[in-house]
Amino acid sequence: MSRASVLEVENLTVALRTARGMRRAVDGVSFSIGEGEILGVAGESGSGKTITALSLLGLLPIGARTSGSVRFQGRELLGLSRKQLRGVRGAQVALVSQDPATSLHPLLRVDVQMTEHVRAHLGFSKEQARQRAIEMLDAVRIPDPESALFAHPHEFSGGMRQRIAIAMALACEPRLLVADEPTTALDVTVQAGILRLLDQLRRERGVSVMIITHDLGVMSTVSDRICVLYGGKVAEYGATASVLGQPRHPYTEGLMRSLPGASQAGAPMVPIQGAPPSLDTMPSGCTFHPRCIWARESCHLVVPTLRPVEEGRWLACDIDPLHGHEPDLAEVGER
Amino acid sequence: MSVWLNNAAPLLAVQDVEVAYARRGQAPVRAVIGASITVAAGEIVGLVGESGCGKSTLGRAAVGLVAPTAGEVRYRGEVVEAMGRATRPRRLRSLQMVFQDPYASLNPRRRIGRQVADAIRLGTGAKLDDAEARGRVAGLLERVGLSANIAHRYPHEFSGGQCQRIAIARVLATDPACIVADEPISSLDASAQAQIANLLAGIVADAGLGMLFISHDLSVVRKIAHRTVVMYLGRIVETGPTEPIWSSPAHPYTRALIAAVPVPGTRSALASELPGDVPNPARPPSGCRFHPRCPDAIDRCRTEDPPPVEVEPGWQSLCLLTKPRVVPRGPSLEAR
Repeated sequence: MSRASVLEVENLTVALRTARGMRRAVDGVSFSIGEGEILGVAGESGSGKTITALSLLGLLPIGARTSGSVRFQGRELLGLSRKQLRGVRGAQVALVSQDPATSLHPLLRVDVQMTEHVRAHLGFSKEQARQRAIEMLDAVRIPDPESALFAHPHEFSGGMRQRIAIAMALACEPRLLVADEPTTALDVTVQAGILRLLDQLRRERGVSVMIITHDLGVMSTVSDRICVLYGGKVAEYGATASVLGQPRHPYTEGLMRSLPGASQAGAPMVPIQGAPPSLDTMPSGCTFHPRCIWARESCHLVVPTLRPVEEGRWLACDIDPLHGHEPDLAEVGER
Repeated sequence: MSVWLNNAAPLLAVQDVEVAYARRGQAPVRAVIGASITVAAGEIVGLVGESGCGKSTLGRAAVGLVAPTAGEVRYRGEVVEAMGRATRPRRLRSLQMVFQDPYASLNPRRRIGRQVADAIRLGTGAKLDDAEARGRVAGLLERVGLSANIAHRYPHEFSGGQCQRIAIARVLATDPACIVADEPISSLDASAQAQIANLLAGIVADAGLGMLFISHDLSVVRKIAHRTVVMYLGRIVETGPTEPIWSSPAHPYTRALIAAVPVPGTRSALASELPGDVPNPARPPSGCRFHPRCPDAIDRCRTEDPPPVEVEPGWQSLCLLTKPRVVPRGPSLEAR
């Protein structure tokens, strides 16, 4: 990646307090995001993707313990005080969450929600902040932005609300947008518009985007690089076209194989068996081994290290299915 | 409105159903208008459309959870009445529903085995002693791919996909002949979605059930549904056999929906966007309801109600511009 990195995450580990003690939700995760780049983070529930995102914003639950490093524009974010974080959060790193119905305040008009943080972070006057809000609503293509300012969130459709949430996130001109499942609650027709918008933002404004989604179709269309998380660890990391085009981790490969379009017409889909682990049931060794059709005995014991396998591509699997092994189908069984 | 060319008598027949939600001081919202769907035994009918198009309302009307304001639903030839909270008549107990969120549809404070056993007793009226119930529950759990020894556990101990399996086991406990599944996979993890879709398709194939599969995930519907029904703003706009609809959709809305689905594994161009949002169903556009967003709309679409056009036998499109496709005959004419 020749582009300057906006965000560098190195060996990030986050332990959460649970009823049964501290549990690692994120375990040694590393990635970087370049300027104007869209990095996709893929994973199922329990993969650590949302906790990773929250740690970039200093929004982890109380009692969470972190180690490693999260450097944003060269500045370490882990360990900042609440006050210091407040200067970063919303201003330079902004979050768009999954459900715009819950991320917008239902009782406040759009103008109140869109100007408060602009005035606080940038010291704008009321009028300047209003102008900025109009400009941002226009940028996300809300028709008639001036009257939209006087409306309440419920007066908009789901897609429009998500556009408003993005406009709000952009109002302070952040360098990094963290979008946690931004289109999952939306219809495909609306989703296409939001994805176009993200793509346009990075091209025209140079905003870097970390998009979290389990939809590999979405991933393929917008992200430049992809980081596949499983059980709190990076399974595979590299250019989206090569990782999804030729997956080398059995988990990525399984995800691609389970897609409805991947199997023969008339034949059933080929899902990955089993369910993702929870914090309390994290398997030993490679966390994917109980579901892996390639797993060998060593996978139960040895934690695979993330190693470079090609230029710009990293893999955490000691078996590497592309290199001439046969899957042990009998051991996993049919169900 | 339409008569289906179907050899077997349909298991479930939704005929010209309209569902209107009354509002105080305002005209009612017509969430579903003139909808007709049939589901035959052994068949999966996929129902797709954007949120707010009325697909869930139609699904609920099909099992009698909401009352149609016009038209009727027949199950095995008998009218399905909306129920209120009264006991469901015995003849309707084999018409069942799978809901979107298994955590919400299962009782969080009752052991899984007991919930499934309740369904056997209530759904089939069988008088079982505890040992018999345990045996039946074990069989049902295994049928949905779970281990029989989880019967004493609670829903919160399981993932979303596992809970949906439990919810499906509970539906199967009633010995159903027809299932309406309303977004049964959309709240699940990526790998669980394919598992549950396979499970449902397998149940239909093995037991010869009929299923109305409601989903906004078009690729899964393409994969498992025999026929596809597309809804827009309360109306069924296209319906027919799945594969032909997908490869050459007749209705402009169906085309737009399919074009919006991003294809994984290819650095494809960004999927095309359908401009605008679904209009408010309380104030639907005049003429064809899709005309404000339709790339092909002509002046007549603004004023005229589109007629159902038979594209091919068993395949209809509700659009002024749809032309019947003449199937070429004779050996010299290769298919289009």
